[in-house]
Amino acid sequence: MAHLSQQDVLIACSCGSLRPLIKLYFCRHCIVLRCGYCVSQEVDSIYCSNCLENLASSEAKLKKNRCGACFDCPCCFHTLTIRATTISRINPPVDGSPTPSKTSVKNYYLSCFFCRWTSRDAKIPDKLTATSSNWPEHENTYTARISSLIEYFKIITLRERLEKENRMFLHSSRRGYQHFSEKFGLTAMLARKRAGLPPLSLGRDDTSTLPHIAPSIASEHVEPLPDDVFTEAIDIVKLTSLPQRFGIPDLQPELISNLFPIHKQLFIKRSQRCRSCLHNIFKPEYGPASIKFKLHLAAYYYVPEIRLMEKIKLKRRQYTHLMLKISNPAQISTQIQFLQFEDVTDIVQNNEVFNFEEKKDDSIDTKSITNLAPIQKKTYPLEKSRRITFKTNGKINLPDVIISLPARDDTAEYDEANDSDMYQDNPSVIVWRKGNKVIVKFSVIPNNDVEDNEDIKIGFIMRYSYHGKIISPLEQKGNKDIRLLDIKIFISIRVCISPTELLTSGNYQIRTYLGKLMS
Amino acid sequence: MPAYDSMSLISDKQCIIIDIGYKYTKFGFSGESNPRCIIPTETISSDTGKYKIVFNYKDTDELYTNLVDFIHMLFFKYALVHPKEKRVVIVESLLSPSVIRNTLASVLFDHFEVTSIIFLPSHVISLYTLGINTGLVVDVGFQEAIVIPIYEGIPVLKAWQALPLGSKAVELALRDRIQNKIKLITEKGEEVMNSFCLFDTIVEDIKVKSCFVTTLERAKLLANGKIPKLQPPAFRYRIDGSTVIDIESIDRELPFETLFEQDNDQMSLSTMILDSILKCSIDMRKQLAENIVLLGGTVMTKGFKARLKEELLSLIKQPKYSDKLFINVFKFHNPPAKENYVAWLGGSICGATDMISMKSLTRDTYCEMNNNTIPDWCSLTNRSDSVIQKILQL
Ligand SMILES: [Zn+2]
Ligand SMILES: [Zn+2]
Ligand SMILES: [Zn+2]
Ligand SMILES: [Zn+2]
Repeated sequence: MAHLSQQDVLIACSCGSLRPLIKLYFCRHCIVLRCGYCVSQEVDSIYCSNCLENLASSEAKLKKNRCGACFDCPCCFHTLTIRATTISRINPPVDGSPTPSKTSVKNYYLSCFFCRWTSRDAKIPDKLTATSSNWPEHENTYTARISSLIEYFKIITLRERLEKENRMFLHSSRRGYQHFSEKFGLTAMLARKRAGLPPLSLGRDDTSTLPHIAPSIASEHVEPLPDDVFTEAIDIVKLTSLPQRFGIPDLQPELISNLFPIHKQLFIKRSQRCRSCLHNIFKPEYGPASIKFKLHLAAYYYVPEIRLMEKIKLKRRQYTHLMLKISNPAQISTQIQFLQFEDVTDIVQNNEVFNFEEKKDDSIDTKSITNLAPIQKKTYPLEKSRRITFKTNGKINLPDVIISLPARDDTAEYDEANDSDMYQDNPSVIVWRKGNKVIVKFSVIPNNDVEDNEDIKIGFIMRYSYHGKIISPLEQKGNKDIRLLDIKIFISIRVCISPTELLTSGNYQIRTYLGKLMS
Repeated sequence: MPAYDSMSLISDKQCIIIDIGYKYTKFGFSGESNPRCIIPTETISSDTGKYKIVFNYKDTDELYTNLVDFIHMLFFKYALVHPKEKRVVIVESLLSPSVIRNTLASVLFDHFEVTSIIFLPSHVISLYTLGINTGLVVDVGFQEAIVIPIYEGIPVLKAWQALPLGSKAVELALRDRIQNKIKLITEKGEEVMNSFCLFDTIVEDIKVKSCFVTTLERAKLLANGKIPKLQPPAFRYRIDGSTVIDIESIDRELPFETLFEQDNDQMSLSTMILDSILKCSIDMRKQLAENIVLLGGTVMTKGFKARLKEELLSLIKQPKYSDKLFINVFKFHNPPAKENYVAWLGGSICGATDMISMKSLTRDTYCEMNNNTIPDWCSLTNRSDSVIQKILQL
């Protein structure tokens, strides 16, 4: 599926991001493209990627977003597995039986299959049960001190806040005095400072009720350079790297032997919402084991796909044919037209800022917004759109045709009939047609200032008819909600322009395409 | 004035504490004793799928996109919470450029729609981890070393000192020393010199695993081209199966000298500290010298603190300082944290108090502001930005 992730054909999202079609969403309510950048993302479910346990968000919070049962290797961060070994113990002879009895005990330890680190390297004793709990846990040694600091500052800020509220009250009642003190810059903080009081002590008499905290005492003693740096040989494999140290932030051990298993970080499933209408446009199924979606409004199902057929060779100051394969993914036929950016006045050119609201259809939007208004207490301006950074350096000639593409029909794939007869296609524009797909011939010329070996970048607008409602066959003759959508397409043609290269003839190229398609 | 009455209802919720360093970002939740993660300030671009260093940017648009990608990762890979109803604490340097601060605010409010942000100056809040309110705070990070005295909880901004003396300078010095020592081992076992550009991560790894800050006595010998009797063992560093670098003794000892050697203006990490004390009024000086707080990953290097103390004690006897500074004792604090996340811990402590509801900039207020520049009051000092702007113009 290499073609799916291709970066050759990019589409401008409504927010200005350039993405390949498969990375775009389509909001059916706003009828605009959306992408990961311009949707609002939400945490749907939290789970462990190893044991697939689903955790409630409160539980995950309690466990600091880590799985209680699974561990990662502190060396290479792969998942650790529990391994068993059998240790036979020789019991001393009991009650006159001549031979000492043998018992075998199973011992369990954690091991990394990737880098061979084991919990025995950390000198963690083996366990007698296979259950994954009860491995020794580690606590930050300063937690008690830090909580007492937090308590102390909590009370101090609380007082500061009360005093501030008091002052605001005074301010409203004794405006004249306040004005005077501000005029002379005698703010409360400065006043205290001049009086020699510490600025954080708030009351005049109530300092005695402040909780006591022992301030840190500075010391003249500092850690000396250890003598062993001059004597001990460096054994690189026994020393930790920075990522390994940061895996245990409060200890940051320098020796591999001081590392210990790290609880596995949990993962999330996300759902995504359109930011302007707040409808869900992507929602996965809840269970961690499921890879299906409840809802997935991928643009792939709504926007005709354009694919670059083959690498071509361009020549300076000459037009070269460019073949694009266009397919209609929708369950209903569509009509496609191509336009230059200049032809469409309400669409803004490359370097200008696109506006979110710009292309929204009023009737639909006001409706959806009024419906949702009570949920949203306050409206905030939407994030500014991004600038399209794609700089074109070539020109594409667009055929002046309207192409009809039938609905996608998977059975038609096996139909040998030639579809071209049904449409009055101009063979110099549409060189091939089958089912919901056509190959259209364009021509491209690089700008004169293009460097050798530079990718040629072109852009144009694809205008197609979109059928807003899912129409059942019975209703098909009824009212159709059809609107024209303009999609900005940007194509990079990875070619080398060599001045000596002879231009291969267009006809030859078509023949090669067709040959390839047949084979 | 921020509306704080409604906020008190949700003040028991934990806020997100982010300390974005040039090289590493510390990230976690308020009230916790250590960050959840310390990760490189790098991200995978959602546009191109390529690795990007967040602070390598051409224009604010690029910085904006980098920060969106990076903070997205923080929220959905580490915090696992929806950013929308979260309060965020940003720990930043007092000297942090306003373009970064404003872009960050825009990213958090406009893109992630967080409830509120508070910017806390790293030097000031680091003292919260010690329960003191006066100290000389020395932050040696990746890009630069910044010294700011804090007196009675207020930064003495006229005395700030900053020099590009951080691990970046150390890694450059190390790279210079080892760049030409790369050897390729052929199939026959022969060793051929090879030169290719070393990745930053390799240089950093060698530095972390083998380099140290030597003593003043040895440093003086080495500076005069003499070789002390005792040598730290040399070793072979393997880049991959066939590429090695032979690290000599001197390569382990010399790179960190960059921080202590005086440059053309006779400035070094140690003179910065003394110069900063000198710029403070006489009655503060002794107290500052006896309350030095060291922050930043670089100060965790073996021998760093011992050397700094030796340097200070030796410099103070030189005429440049002995006439003006009458100090003979330097004392250092030991925060309840590793030095590379002390500032983050200060943020975590502040984030657990009412300060967040009192002084945060809310999204409502932000949206009402016309120019979207972060005002002074959301910073702890209540006046930092304008003051800093004035100082930076000097
Ligand atoms: Zn978008
Ligand atoms: Zn698990
Ligand atoms: Zn491993
Ligand atoms: Zn929508």
